[in-house]
Amino acid sequence: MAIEAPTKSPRPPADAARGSDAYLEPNRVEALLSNNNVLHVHQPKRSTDGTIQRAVDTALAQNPSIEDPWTIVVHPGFYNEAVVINGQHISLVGYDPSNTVIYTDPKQGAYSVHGTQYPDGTTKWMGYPLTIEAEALPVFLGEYPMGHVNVHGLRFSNRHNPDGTGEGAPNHAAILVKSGGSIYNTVDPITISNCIIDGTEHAVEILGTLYDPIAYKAPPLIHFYNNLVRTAHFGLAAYGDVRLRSHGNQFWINSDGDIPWQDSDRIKAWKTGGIVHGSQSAGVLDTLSFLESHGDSIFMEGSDAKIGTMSGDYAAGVVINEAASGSAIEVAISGLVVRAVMDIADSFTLAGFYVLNGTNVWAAGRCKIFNSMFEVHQVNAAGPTDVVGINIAAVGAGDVVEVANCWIDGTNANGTAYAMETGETINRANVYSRLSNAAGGTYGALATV
Amino acid sequence: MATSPPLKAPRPMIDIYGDGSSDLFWPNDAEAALNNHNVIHVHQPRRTSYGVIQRAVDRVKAANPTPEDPWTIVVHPGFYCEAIMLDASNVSLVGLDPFNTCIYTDPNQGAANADTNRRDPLTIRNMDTALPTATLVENVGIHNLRFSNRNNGKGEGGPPTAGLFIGHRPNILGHAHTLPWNNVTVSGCVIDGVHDAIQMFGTTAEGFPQTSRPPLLFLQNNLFRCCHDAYTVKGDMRVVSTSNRSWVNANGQIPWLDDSRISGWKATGFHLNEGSQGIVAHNPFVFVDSNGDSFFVEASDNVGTGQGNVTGVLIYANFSNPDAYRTRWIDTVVRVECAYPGSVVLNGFQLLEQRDTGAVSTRDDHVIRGAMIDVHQRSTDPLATSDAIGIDIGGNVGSEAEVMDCMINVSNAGAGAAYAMRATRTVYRANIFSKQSNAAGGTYLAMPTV
Repeated sequence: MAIEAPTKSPRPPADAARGSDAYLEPNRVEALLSNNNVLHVHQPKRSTDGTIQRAVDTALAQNPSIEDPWTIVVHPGFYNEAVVINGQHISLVGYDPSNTVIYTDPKQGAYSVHGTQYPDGTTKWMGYPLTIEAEALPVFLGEYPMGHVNVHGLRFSNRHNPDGTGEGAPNHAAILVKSGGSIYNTVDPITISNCIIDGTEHAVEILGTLYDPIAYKAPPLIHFYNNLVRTAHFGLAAYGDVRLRSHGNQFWINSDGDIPWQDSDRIKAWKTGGIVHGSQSAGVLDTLSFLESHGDSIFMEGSDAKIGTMSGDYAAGVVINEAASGSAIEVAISGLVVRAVMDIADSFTLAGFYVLNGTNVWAAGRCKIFNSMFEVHQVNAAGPTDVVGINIAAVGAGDVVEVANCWIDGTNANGTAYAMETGETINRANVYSRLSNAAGGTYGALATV
Repeated sequence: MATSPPLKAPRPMIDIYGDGSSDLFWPNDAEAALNNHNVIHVHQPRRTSYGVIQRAVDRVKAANPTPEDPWTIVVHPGFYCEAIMLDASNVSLVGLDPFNTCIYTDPNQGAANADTNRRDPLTIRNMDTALPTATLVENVGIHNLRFSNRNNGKGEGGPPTAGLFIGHRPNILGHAHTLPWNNVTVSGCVIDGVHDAIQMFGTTAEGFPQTSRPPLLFLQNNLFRCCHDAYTVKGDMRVVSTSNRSWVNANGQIPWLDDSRISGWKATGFHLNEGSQGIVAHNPFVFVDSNGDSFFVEASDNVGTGQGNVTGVLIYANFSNPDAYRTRWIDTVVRVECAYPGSVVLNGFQLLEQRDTGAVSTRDDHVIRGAMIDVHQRSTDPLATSDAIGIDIGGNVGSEAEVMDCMINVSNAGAGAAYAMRATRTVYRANIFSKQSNAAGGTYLAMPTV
């Protein structure tokens, strides 16, 4: 039964935190524009930090509920801060996804008042422009609510890897969704839509649960749709148990420093991936951890110009890395387009879909790719790597991957091009491929499966 | 090397009004405070004024936006009669209401054309075409606005105007070899054209001035409405098109377009015309990725003289060059509805690559998979002699296409036949479900031999 929102008379903005805070423009304008449960945020100058955070804290202090949610409207500008939302029923929205930028940059000092200290104990802080996390970091088994957080129409940029070393630095992302690590959290949906999300390393990083003590609950649910994701490394990466639904997004994975306003100095030796899911579930509700991708387009490109060595690394449209023992995830992909064009004189794995690790048994139907197109091209004649459309490099004995109604195009200026490569079972139907390699450019047959 | 954004002291708003009159609903104090750094709010007090947004663009350009210091122009709901030239980088043009924040041109209303050669409500490109000094226009975002070129003055044969135009028209004619733009994002817009909705002209040269990659364009969640071509694509570029909807109506039913100018239209959802002539370094060099787009094309006897095409997607090139383009279509929905009582070309997809020199390319290829294609001739007039074809593949030797996992439904109530596919060049096909019915009695015909 629907619950009606309470009828309210107009009230002044909840500006307890803003009354003396010039950064929130708490003047007559705010009073005019701030109606029920809406805060408008403006950025008077870039050197300030924490403007949006104060709005978030102000809104959450009102105890938003499903009948009484709060909205924060961020007006165009550059906001140098690391926002943390650790509550529910709140929306963070903008109307210029190109130039309403929430960013962190350690070169500029004030990039982060939140975050996690570096493992080495230094005073540096990781740069996450937005973190959505459980209401309280858990200390014991229990339910810690998060969710009903909606992010819409904004741009996020972690434009510079904090420790300055590029690949190998602590993970950081433009948006981090953090469910509390090893402890279960009750999670209502989190929605991220119509945003532009730029990352120097990750664009979006989702940390799900690793432990599931309550059998009837499900791990975090993320709706991620209509976003433009640009990064040099991983576009949308999920680790742990999570229900991730990715629809209609565009991913531009560029390792040459072409992403606007990202720090190209920090790019070297990247792995690259459009959507990455590394499940590490140890619970019993393995079927509730899944990746669903529908209508996503991933465009990847990289060259020797910036990428440096790629030896031993990979560039792949979708990566499944189930490194931990325990239960497995479900993968359901439909309507995916991957186009990877690499010009790198090095040995690495180039794939459209890549299972890097799969330590658990995937029964039939658990991992399926339907109605998708994969193009992988190595155009560098000095690159010895094989290219593979669907590469099931390592799965558990007895695993089954199902592929239907797909099209694969692989070309290789030096090594071999395969449609598929696997050591385990692939059930396939209506898979069409064309492959050409340096040997002569002819179309090859489907690789042995 | 990254640079730090400049630190600025607060400064007063920049306000742009149509005519400076005092009867504005906005602005007020609120507006004054909303104009913070690098943001201009534009309001339109009267429709007859001209150049309001252009003035905002000019001010932005004068500020020399950079990736670290971009500018935003917020257009508030209203009707803005002007032809904007956006020749600045690191700028976004955004609206709040994509239906009624309308930037339009209309020669019937006089003020639409300070430049009579430019009737596109918005043009994105550099103005300096001289080599090697031309400046790239890049990092442009267009969001949640409506553009309408509601009258091109002459109908078919008149200026090929568009609701949104990107690039330089002369490029494809073999003149300028420029990279006029790059990294443009258009999302959430409603784009109307009495001729085309969006026209994109890429580069005909490689490697200038920035990279060996041609311009990159992202189209997402837009609604294109027009009487002629929803998309026109010419020259080298990289287009990623996701979840856009096109409605091509040759009968004057597009809201607020001038149907008096509509006669004898071709009607096409996506029209890729003329390809690359650069020297390929990256492979593939030119591409169109369309994922989840839908094209609805309809024409009736109101269309006037029925010339040209009524086609969902048309790939056509007659430019002599050794290069190629690649198009990929996935989850595409095409519906072509025609009631014209005469002879027209009726296709869901038509792939023609007729290079005027007869150049052979083995690199042009087009892949259609997961598409649903409807093509229907509803007219029972005996003069309606055209065949209706779901996918028609022609072109020169070396052209090829792959079609798979599609559902095709073709009917013809006129004197012509109905075919799921027809091909004169190489086509690989598999897993295609089709039904065809024609005037002979609505029986299903077999797939033509390919």
